[in-house]
Amino acid sequence: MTRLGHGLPLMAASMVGGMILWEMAASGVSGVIFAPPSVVLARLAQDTLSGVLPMALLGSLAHLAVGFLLAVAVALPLGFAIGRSPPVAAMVEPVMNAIYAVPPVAMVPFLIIWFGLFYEARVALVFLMSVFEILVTVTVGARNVDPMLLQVGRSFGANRFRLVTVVMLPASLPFVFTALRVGLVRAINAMITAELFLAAVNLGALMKQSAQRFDMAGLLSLVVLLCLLGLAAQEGLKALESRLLPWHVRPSS
Amino acid sequence: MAQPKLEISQLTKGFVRGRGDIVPVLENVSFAVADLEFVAIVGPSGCGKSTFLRIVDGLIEPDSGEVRLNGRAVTGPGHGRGMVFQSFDLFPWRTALGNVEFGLEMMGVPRQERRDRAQGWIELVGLTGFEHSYPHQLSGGMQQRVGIARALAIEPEVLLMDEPFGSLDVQTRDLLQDELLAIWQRKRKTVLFVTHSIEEAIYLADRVLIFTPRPARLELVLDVPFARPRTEEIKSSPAFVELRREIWQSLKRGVRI
Repeated sequence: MTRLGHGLPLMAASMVGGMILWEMAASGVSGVIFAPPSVVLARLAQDTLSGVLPMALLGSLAHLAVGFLLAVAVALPLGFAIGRSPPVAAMVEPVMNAIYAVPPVAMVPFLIIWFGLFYEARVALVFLMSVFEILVTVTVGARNVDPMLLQVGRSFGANRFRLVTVVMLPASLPFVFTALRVGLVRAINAMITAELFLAAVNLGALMKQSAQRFDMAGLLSLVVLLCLLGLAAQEGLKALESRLLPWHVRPSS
Repeated sequence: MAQPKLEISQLTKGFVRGRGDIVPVLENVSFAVADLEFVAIVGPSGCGKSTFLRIVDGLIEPDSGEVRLNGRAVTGPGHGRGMVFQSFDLFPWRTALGNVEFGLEMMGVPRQERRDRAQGWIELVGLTGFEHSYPHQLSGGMQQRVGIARALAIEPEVLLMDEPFGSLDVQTRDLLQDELLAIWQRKRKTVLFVTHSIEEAIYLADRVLIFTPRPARLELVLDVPFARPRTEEIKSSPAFVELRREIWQSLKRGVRI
């Protein structure tokens, strides 16, 4: 709340300043090379009202949601296991770190062979690109549970199971939220990457069409839409976190 | 004499450091604590007092020797003992009330009952109105009141306090000492209180045990003659000063700077 409160005038000033610079940079330049924000925003409004953008966005969100939820379902329990169990960490972590280093786009050829060009392959890419981010962050969170708090739990008679449910899980929730935030941003990245590198559909198809027609306003309006989507996803998760974890004081950024 | 509440016999403990060499921490510590007695343990920082208290709590196993509570050997953490920790160590995601309820929850006390009981302890430690505050919203002194209430809430037979006021400023520490004495007058308990402050030990306890530096051995046991309830005036009495000098003489021998 205060974070926003203090930064709000600066944020607004930066946005307006950026818009003015953008407008100035684009003025006098041909529409096939760059477009000013006034034209881009008008185009965004127009395509939104005509229903073209909302339909494409819905299609994109479908594989985003499925891929991301699958990644969360796999990464949360696995991350906890790696973070809390040295044998599991010894077995899984080297493999995890090795695959993590491979650019996900390099996996596209395999995904095409295994899943084809359509929906399943897009879900797979979203899954693959977000699962490691979530896994790595959750692992760190589970590993960093304050050992003193675990000791307090034991001192007051918590058995192994209760230690997990009443101490470890709540203690690592802030990390879980961070993991979801980073993971969701990656998932949005993957969503659009999949639509550009696999069969072009939804937002990806619109982007390709705009690019082929040198329609800069159309292309930029899609980029702005992605920016807004990413921003909304992150701020939404932050708001959810401060509602659900009122006790967690995030270091002011 | 009646059976002691707590019997410590020949506790020895060492920790493995680096490549297998063992650092002795406790050596052959034995003593007994009577029911409702307030015993303070003084020793230089890092001498093994905390380790000792954790063994009594059942969090750590000794290498040899044993702890008996009411004649039964202690084999692990349990509800006979309630611990107050130096760095408070409240659960940051629980409110003050939620923290006080914690032990009762582990014991399986039904929700409404544990809430009511926790509320009573919150009142006893003077935190009415702060039940729903989270630890980060409370001052250090208030956090430790929650810590004390959390330990008392399970109605332990022995209250273990590990330098509970060690990380507080002097004023808060003095106030909390008086408050602890007041609580203790009302809810008499057997207390084992670890501190590095000689004055705190004399002011609070019936008996002061002095530990040597690592490895900790029992160096000296002194009875504190002051009547209860005690007030701050005793701190400037000649007997207090003499007792403090005596303890300091004993401690000084082992202190290396």
